Amino acid sequence: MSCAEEGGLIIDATKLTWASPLDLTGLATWASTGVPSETSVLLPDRPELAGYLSRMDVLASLTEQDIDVHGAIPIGDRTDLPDRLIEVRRIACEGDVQLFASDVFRLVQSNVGDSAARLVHSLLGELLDNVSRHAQSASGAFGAAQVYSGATTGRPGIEISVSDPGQGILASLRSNPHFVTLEDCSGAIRASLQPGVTGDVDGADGPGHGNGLPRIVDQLRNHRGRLVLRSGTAIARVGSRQVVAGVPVSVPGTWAWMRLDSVNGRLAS
Amino acid sequence: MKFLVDCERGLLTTRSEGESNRHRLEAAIRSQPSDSLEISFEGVEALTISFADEFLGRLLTELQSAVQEPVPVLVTGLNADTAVELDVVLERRKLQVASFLANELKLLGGDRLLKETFLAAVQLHHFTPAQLGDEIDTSVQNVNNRLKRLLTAGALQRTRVSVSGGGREYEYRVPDLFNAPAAA
Repeated sequence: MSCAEEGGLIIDATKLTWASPLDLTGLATWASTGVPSETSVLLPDRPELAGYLSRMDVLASLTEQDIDVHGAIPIGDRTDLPDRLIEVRRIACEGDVQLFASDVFRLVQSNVGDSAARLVHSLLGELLDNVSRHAQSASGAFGAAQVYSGATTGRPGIEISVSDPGQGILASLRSNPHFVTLEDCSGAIRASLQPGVTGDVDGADGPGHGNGLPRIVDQLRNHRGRLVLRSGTAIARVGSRQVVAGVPVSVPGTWAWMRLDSVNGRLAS
Repeated sequence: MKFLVDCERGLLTTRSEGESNRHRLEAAIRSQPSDSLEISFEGVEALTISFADEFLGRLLTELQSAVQEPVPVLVTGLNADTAVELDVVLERRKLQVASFLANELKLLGGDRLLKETFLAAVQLHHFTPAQLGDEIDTSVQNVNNRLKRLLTAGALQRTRVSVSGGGREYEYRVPDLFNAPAAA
């Protein structure tokens, strides 16, 4: 995806060839940062991908925001798959957070069992708490989740994403005087994955903060899971190894995606 | 007093839920002072660190700094996973609380030594620091340091008694509440 902001915000997804829940919530998040009447989204050229965006309610989300959508939208019967999918939705208030967390819990519980559902609830809680405490996002966040049977990829598992259009990790950490010298988004993402690093100034919110993302990483690693974080001009891919890199296009806010593989209907370990 | 944590869908997720439960419990404690407190998570399938921190982390911080002789506090109704979440929060805040988990008393929060000391205390049930020191092969000074933390957490109670030859010392015991929490 690319973005142009001259005379408004244009998100060009025409060359998109593949999309995960992170791309879907990211697209909705990105679009939400522009002035609606001056924002346009160009749909993927590939019909199946445009159809996927439609199926996952990205287009509905854009339309709700009065954003212009350009491109062919395949028309087809929609099969509801509440036991496999949670389509892209806005998470704007306390009730939205509770409902999204609850729906994800039931989705995971019905596919991968109680223990997996509890783990995912805990990890998702950390992501959602980061949005409410650090993002300073007036419009909340966007979330989505999907269970993969592995029929096409050979890799069954769960993917969940939460993206917010807030201030991003760099600005959040710089609000703490200890981290005001952080130079760039890559450094900020790298720091955020370390224990005890937080935008919370001198433990004003109580001790023990700044451990959310490191705990997510630890827990995911225990289950051969992965985390992707995008914020500003940086991306972190964390699995058995951690790779942080700069990217040429800056995205607004913070986008998070996590994946847990499953084996025979249970979490991989 | 038995306090049932309010939980609509079996899930506790946000800090606001933690805050509202904490306020409800604080109000109950103010209006109806009790000599013990059981906090029940009955019906809770899963909870988040955020909820646990806002509810139990802050509550125990206030309780343990507010009273001279803490009342016994017991957490019940946990499953293995919700217990882990509470354990993480309390460890981060350097707090601890007794819990009834899978029909056994366990300490949530605290380091390994403190957990072991609590389990030994539960085995003895009623003891002096010297007896507990013998049990876990530790000096009385170390035992007293740990007992002070367990006492502050409401995980044990103590009584001052006279000893033969003059002088006084404390005897410690497991609170009665911990014997049959479901009936409290």
